[in-house]
Amino acid sequence: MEDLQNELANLNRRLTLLENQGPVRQIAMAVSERDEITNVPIAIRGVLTNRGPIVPRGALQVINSHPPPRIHENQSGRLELAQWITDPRHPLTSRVIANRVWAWLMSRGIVHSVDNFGTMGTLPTHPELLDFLAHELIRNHWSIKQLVRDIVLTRTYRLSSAHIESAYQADPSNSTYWRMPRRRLDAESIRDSILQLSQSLDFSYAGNNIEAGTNSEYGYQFNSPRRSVYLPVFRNNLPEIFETFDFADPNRMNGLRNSSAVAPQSLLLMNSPEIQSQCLSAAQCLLQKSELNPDQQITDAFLATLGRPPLPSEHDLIRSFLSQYPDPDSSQVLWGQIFQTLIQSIDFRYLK
Amino acid sequence: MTNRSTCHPTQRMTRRQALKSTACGFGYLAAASLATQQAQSVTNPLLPQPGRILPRAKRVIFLFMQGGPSHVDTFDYKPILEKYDGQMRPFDDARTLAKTRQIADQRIFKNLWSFKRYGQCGQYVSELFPHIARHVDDLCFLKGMHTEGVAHGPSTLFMHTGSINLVRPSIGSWVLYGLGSENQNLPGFVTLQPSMGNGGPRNYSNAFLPAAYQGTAVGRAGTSADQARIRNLQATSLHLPSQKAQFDLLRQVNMEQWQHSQQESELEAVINSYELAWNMQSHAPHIFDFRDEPQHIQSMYGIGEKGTDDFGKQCLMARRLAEAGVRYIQVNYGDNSNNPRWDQHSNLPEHALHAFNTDKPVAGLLQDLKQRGLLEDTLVWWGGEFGRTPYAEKKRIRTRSQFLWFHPVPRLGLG
Repeated sequence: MEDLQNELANLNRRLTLLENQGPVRQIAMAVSERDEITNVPIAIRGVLTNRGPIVPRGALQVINSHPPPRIHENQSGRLELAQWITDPRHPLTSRVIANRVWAWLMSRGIVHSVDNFGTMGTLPTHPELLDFLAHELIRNHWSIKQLVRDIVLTRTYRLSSAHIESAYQADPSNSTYWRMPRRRLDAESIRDSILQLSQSLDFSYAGNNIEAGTNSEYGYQFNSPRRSVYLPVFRNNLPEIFETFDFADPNRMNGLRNSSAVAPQSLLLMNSPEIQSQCLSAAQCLLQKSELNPDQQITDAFLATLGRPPLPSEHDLIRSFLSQYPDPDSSQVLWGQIFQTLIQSIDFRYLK
Repeated sequence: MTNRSTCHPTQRMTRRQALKSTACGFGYLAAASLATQQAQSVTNPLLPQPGRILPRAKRVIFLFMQGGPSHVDTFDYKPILEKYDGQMRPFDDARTLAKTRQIADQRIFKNLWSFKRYGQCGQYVSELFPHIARHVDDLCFLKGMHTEGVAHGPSTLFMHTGSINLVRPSIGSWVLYGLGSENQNLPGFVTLQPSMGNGGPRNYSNAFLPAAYQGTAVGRAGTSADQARIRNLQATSLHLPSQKAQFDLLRQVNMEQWQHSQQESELEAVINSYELAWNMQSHAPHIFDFRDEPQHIQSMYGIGEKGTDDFGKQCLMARRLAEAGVRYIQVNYGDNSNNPRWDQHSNLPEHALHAFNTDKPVAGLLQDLKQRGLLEDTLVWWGGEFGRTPYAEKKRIRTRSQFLWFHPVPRLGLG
């Protein structure tokens, strides 16, 4: 008996040792079924204490394209609900997601009210197109990537946003997509582009994206130079530039972001110390290219910031700005100001 | 019909024609401020909105006492508590009900502070607020408040947004949405030193309203009022030789790009947002600089005195913002913890400290608004996210289901 106990103690010690040496297990929050499965009363207007009648578990009754989920008395019904929602015969799921992907790429949905399909929302402008995209999505095993590829390879996506007077006269709201809608740079793209200008954007993939030792979102400092897609999203604390440039509220369901033009955005681009320091770094990078003459410097700055060479008029404006302050000691600050001006310009904030 | 067509569209056409006829956009520069004003009529969502009814109150100052001051120890006198002190009585305590679905007996706890009647109205005020007590005749006391939240987080959200768990716009956002702002060089909804806890930004969020109606946080809880400034308002060192020269360059570059675009109103809105930012930068810092305030005014708010200095500065800032035409101003007396400042579960006597810190500044604000005639059309609202139970939990005191607030414009017909 004693031997057995000793052996058990030894084995436990070994187990602890192995556990400590083993790889760290990834942990994620998930839901689990409760011991007691029961129907619950409806919370009227979402208020928990405002209890209505008890409602049996089920799905929207107006959708009769396929049979409603059959939920066993002793199961919550989560699985059955998920299967019902993702059933290819479900009329909404594939259309809603196809419409959102279209809206993210094309600035507006085929159904403009992306979060509201049906009688309370707007009608699709191109119903056959929406059906086609939804069908393709299902056919390609719900691959979002393939759906994005389908859309960006269209002629419509590749159209320029240039103005054509005759087309404008015929269809001023561009409802027939005679040109690409002008797209506003979103918060992530603004941040990444600015970091890229100063050549400090970190392109590394995967891995932990929350600073070690973090135990609360409050006061979290977003100092990472990684691409925006790797910044953590907390419910009540966003990077300032995200908060200012209409990042989606993490507390809300939101299919399409706000698109605002408000003074705090301008103030951030004008006065934020971080933005200024990135612009100074961008200036330093430019001035290190000693092979460039002044005209080439201007072209280089425009290419880096706006992806196009300057217009002759823009070129002249920059030249005359530079010529006001010929002191070579001030050139980094001046170029910092020029980069800052370019990221404030409307051609940076909108994609043509 | 005639009126409609001579309103916005014509102004816009005139300006566009003028711009098109000027070669390199300097016409725009010369007329920048005029253009901004005109464009605002097309694109600025913050212009004052004509109301359906003409309200007497033009602005709101909300003095948020975070943590829940005990109404029974401040303004809602309950002499019967003295009589039954220490006795057990059944109460439908919301937390207990939520947890156990039972009504339990609770031990009644008397007021720790004595009450006196003040003013012509004879309102009882506890000895915690000797300064505010002098203004009772200008105040209206609402004692029937009710909340659905049983903890600070949900109650704070409920008070600001009307919902404990759904994402809804803050009351300040609604007010700004409905009435617009009187000063286009300042944000229309300002919250001074808000807490980062208990919902944090959701308490001044626009939620589903356009972003223009979001509250602008000035400073944050836990830092001093001296550091409370609008973010990114100060021009910093990069602006050599001058920010003006850089801003002129931006105007010119934007004008070039605008000329080469289709001169769409969306782009105009962006250009205007820089003009607004520039104006804010020139005008707003003055609001936060008290050097032109006479000493006797500062003393009225308790500025320079131990305890009252910080909240006094916030209250003075609120008056200056109100004077400048800001529509909704929230002054926060709070912190970032889960049990915020007024939350005296275990140590009710600490109420005395918070009452001392806020009493004189609030009274000073009321007096200052009154002597400037601003109290006539300013709704000053004082309150926490809930009140406190009349019974003690061991040594603790707490409640939900009631909170008290008061505001000093009873003549506005709140009834």
